[in-house]
Amino acid sequence: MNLFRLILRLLALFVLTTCVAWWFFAGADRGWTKTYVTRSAVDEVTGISYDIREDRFVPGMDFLVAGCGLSFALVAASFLPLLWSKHKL
Amino acid sequence: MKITRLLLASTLLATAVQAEELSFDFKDPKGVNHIVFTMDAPLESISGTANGITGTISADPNEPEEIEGKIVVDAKSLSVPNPVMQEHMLGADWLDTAKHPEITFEITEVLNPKKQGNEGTADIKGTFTLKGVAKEITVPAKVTYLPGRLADRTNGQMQGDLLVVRTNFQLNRGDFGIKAGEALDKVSDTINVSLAIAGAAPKK
Repeated sequence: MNLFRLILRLLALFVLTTCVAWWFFAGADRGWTKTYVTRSAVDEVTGISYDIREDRFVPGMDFLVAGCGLSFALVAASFLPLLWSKHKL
Repeated sequence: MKITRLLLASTLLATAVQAEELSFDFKDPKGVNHIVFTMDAPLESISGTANGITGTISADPNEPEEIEGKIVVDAKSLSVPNPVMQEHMLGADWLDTAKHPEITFEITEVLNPKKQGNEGTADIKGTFTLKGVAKEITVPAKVTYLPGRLADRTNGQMQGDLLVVRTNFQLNRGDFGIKAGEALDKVSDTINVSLAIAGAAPKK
């Protein structure tokens, strides 16, 4: 039972550090998660400035919150066996 | 006498040619034509684009008040960078693109046209249709006529003229039945729209 608890907590730590590190090194975007970014270009003939789309995953605050939530849920789940054993007694 | 008649006829012919109405096609294989829309939201402004633009505008470069035509936007080409937002935006609660696949603007009248060289400004009145709701709106537009520049855009493959239209205006989503009075804490009612499109009139 202790091993199960340890695995869940290590998994929670892994999820949390991965999410935070990914978010931070991907630019620490404080907006919503994006699956593409744009860069501006100008059409030489018409002078119209337009966006060129580049597919790229940019984790945002929702990604960070979801990662923290999942990590918290895993830690909480690690206490369940303890509650069950107490309930049985 | 014959010479005078000939001169008069050639002058009239030249005037007729100059006053020729051109039809500009706004389908753009280069993907430059686009619309940018922004809305205020709590975490960050929602900014998206649309590039599925088609339509034609008939215009006589010498008579800017004579512009007429219709611009059509494929509603499914509206795009925001967040995939969840994208799904919601195109879904039944918001734009309902399955039932209303087109956003259109049909010009009905040109007000206050001002022309300076090949550039002009005007307030363009027309019928804007979004999510099946049609409303009369007036938008300020800047129009630039680029005679003979189509060749530059097509690497000499086509000869003709270009017409560039730029406009910025605001809409209220509630006016078009898009969650009227709802979710105002999540997305503002006001939508800022910026449009820059170029149409081509190939020489026949």
